[in-house]
Amino acid sequence: MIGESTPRPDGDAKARGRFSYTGDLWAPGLLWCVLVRSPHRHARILGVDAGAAYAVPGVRGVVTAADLPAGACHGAIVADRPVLADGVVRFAGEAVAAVAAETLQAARAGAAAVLVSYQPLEPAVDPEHAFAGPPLHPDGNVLRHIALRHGRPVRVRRDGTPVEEVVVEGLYEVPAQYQANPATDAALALPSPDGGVELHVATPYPHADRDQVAECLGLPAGMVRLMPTGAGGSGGSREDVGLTTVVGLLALRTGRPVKAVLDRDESLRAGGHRHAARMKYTHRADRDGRLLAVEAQIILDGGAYAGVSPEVIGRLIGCAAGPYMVPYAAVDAWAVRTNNAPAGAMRGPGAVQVCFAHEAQMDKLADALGMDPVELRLRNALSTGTMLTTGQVLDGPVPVGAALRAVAEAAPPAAPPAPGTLRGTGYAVGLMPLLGIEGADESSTATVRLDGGVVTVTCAAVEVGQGFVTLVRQIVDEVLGVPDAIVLQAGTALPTAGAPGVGRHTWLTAGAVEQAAREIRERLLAPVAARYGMTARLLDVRDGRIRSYDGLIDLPVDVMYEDTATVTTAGACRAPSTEPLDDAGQGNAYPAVAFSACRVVVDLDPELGTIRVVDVTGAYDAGRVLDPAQARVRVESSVAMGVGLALTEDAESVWAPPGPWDVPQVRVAAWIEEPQPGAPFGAKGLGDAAIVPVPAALAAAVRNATGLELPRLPMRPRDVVVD
Amino acid sequence: MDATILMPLSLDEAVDALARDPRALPVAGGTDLMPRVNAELVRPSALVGLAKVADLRRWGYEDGFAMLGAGLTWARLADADLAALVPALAAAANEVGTAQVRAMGTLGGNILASGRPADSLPVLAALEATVSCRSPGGVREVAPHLLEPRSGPIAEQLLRPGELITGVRVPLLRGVQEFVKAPVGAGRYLTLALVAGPVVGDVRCAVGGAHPGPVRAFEAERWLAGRMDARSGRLSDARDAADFGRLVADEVRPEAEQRAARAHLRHVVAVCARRAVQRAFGG
Ligand SMILES: Cc1cc2nc3c(=O)[nH]c(=O)nc-3n(C[C@H](O)[C@H](O)[C@H](O)COP(=O)(O)OP(=O)(O)OC[C@H]3O[C@@H](n4cnc5c(N)ncnc54)[C@H](O)[C@@H]3O)c2cc1C
Repeated sequence: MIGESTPRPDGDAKARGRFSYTGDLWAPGLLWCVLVRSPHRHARILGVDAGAAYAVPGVRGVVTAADLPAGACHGAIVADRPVLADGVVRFAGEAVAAVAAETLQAARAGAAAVLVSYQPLEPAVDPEHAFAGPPLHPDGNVLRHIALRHGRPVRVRRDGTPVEEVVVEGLYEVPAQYQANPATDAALALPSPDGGVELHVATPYPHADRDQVAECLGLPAGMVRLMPTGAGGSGGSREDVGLTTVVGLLALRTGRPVKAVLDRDESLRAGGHRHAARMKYTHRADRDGRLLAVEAQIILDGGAYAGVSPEVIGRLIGCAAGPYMVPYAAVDAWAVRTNNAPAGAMRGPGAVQVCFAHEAQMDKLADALGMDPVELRLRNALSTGTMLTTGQVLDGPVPVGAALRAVAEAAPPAAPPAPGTLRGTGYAVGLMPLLGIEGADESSTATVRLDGGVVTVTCAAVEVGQGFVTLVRQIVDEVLGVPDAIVLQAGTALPTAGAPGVGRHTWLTAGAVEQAAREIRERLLAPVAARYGMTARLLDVRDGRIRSYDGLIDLPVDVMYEDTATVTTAGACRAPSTEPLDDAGQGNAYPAVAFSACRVVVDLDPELGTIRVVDVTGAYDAGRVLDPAQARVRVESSVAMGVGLALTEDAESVWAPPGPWDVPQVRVAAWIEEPQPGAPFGAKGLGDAAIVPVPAALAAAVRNATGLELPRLPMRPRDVVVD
Repeated sequence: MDATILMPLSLDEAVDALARDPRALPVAGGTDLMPRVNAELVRPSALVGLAKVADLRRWGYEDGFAMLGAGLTWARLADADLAALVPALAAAANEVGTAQVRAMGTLGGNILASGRPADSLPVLAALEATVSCRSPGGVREVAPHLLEPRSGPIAEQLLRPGELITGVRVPLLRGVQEFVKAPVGAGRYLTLALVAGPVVGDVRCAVGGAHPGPVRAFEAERWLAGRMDARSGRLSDARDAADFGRLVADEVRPEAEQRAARAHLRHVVAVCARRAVQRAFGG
């Protein structure tokens, strides 16, 4: 039932290690695939000699760029990334060749035997240098630039006297962040008798992947079938289309099933992580703490290929000034190509990075004004009917003030600071555009079939661990009173549902399921209602009974199905329409925006620089909480990821994910349930908005404890030692 | 993985199984070994499971020593009875990884773990305990504090191929034992164990995480022993603890690639040593 916690169908199997991931799949005659990856960040490929690899016992095939149609490139938005590097490698870890062999060991030995001669070239690893440096790719080095200009500078007050400005500036840095999906990217390809190929991949986005793989293999889309498999989590990007293509190619070449599973180290180097960002900000406010202007220059390191960078810039630009009313904004945001691994999308893409900067600026401003940081934020908070710096008027709920007040008023942690530690408290508020943006025109479909009381739902959406299947069952239960619907994933057999994330399926696919289920309900209830001279609308289906509003009718739910053998209906849900941002970054680009606020309390050992996160308290603009347990999981995982970015994950060093000891119990001060107009049940996706303020609030708490400036993440022990 | 799996029921069977096949490896809790086996970083021909060897999980007294079986888990080492016997080891146990790792990970496995510096080793080095290594030829006692901590993996110095660790012999000491652990970033930790007897002159300190093996600070120990008042056992000066910290850091010289990181590690060693002394001697 909507609003109640329901156990997840995959939970038990995953907890017990019995869940079958792509890496666990097997087929008779299976070959293993291992990629040959570049050790250089930037190099010309002078030649690839696979002779020695074929001499390794068990090796059955080696492929390079020469085995693919010329210019076989993929990319979420621009196809600029070769499946296998062709003439030049642009990041360390880029795939150059692939080997298929009878065993994993033979494939590894084969891959090690492939002789690639490189002529190393000067790598551009700093986005500020790459920006103006020689092009690393025929498409150039600027993946997208938006020069947002909004409003007009405020120089005089209403009464004509000049405004006294308080100005604060800052330079901030956020590193790349690895998603660490529990199961790494993997693919299994089976050659089909028609000369095509069947791909089993845990992709969140089967349609786009299918089309790209077909294109890169030079096959008609119909000859590539993509079957979603059990996904081992998805923090945003998952499944490299290049890997899927290579495995497909090897299956076609060898006529045998081929499987590849990335190991953790490969997965770390292969890209798809959160963009590293460098941000320069200037905030101006009047003496009363009202924001006058936000100016910023933001550079994202897109890595070697475009990936989703253009879209991330489109999302980031509307978040750059934070959830505040800003009369004048001048924000330049670039995504730049470098010789680093290509970035992808990770929870709260773009928004997390700018939140770290704009919230640090708000604290600096509060300090300069001698004002309480919560009060300063409340004074400037966006509300319904106000405008983003993209010029879009917010017509849905905008509970910025309510969320911030909820966390500020929540009881502080009961335990006093540990002896010898300094306690610090920090606040942050963030916003996150949901669904596809800038005219994405997304929709999702679902079919609901009722057969003798058994409900089967088929949708193109993919469960990647976000709990979508549970949600579909709850909707069917809510509408039809059947708690245990069977949820089938159609893969590419139904039209696209779009990738999960940014709240897409909570809105679009849930909407489609709801619509189809409601139609069945109307159809089945109408005859029942007619018998009593009522309309179906006056009947309620709950707890296995059909009841009328006045209590006169109280029937078992089965009477609905008595006369009907099977009913099948289809539903569709379309996102609110949007438009691309113009050259000045203006336009109604976002179908919906979600907000969240967070308070973090830390105890810091000033001598050792060790930080213990004592308490994280959040408030979330949920629209409606569909399942409290699921909602909590979204929030807790977001906090864990946020703590990792803020404290443990040092991109320059050994990758160290946060452990359970790093993350405290998360307290929810408030689920703010103002229904989002147009969204099914009024609900909005939670995960993306929930992570946005976490690193920012954690940094604020550490600054509060230490008085240090801390302009970059992660805050390593040695950065926060106070002597 | 195509390794044979053996489950011996006694120490003798286990030792024999290892002696017969030089490429076999024992598995205790598996928390360190199994991830490496699954990633094929090591490819043993056989895995000798130790779970059913009850003798490895025993402990007892033997004239002035406590004998701790190699199969005792971290969780067991933290229990009140063993904590009273070897407080520093229990303190270390309480700070190991997660509850799951404490429930499965063993003392013997920790001594030989290759994933990260073993938290048990500085404690054993400070206690001057010995590790009992058994082969069909007999038992060898190896003292962790006499190894070369700066030269390469400690497991290779400690154990010969085919040997099984049966347990450790820990001298029963009166006096105080302290254990301090501090994260230093990127998943790395420094640990420090301090043992100070009531008899003047008996101070021992070892640092883990700075080098592959536990490093004793012999000179700093002597210096601190000299600062102890003969009758009260107290330190002469309130500043002694901090001075000791600096001496330990100078002697241990932790390693890191970058200069800034190295300076931080030295600072952390000095702070940990000072805190251990303050706790041990008061002040
Ligand atoms: C998440 C996580 C956190 C951790 N945190 C810590 C920490 O905070 N501090 C710390 O010190 N360690 C930590 N570890 C490392 C280590 O896994 C544990 O400390 C544990 O004690 C290892 O013991 P085990 O029984 O699991 O060893 P196993 O994995 O079974 O074995 C490790 C090695 O020892 C050998 N071996 C095991 N028993 C014997 C024996 N009796 N004779 C001869 N050889 C033997 C094995 O062949 C293998 O080479 C952590 C590990 C994980 C996964």
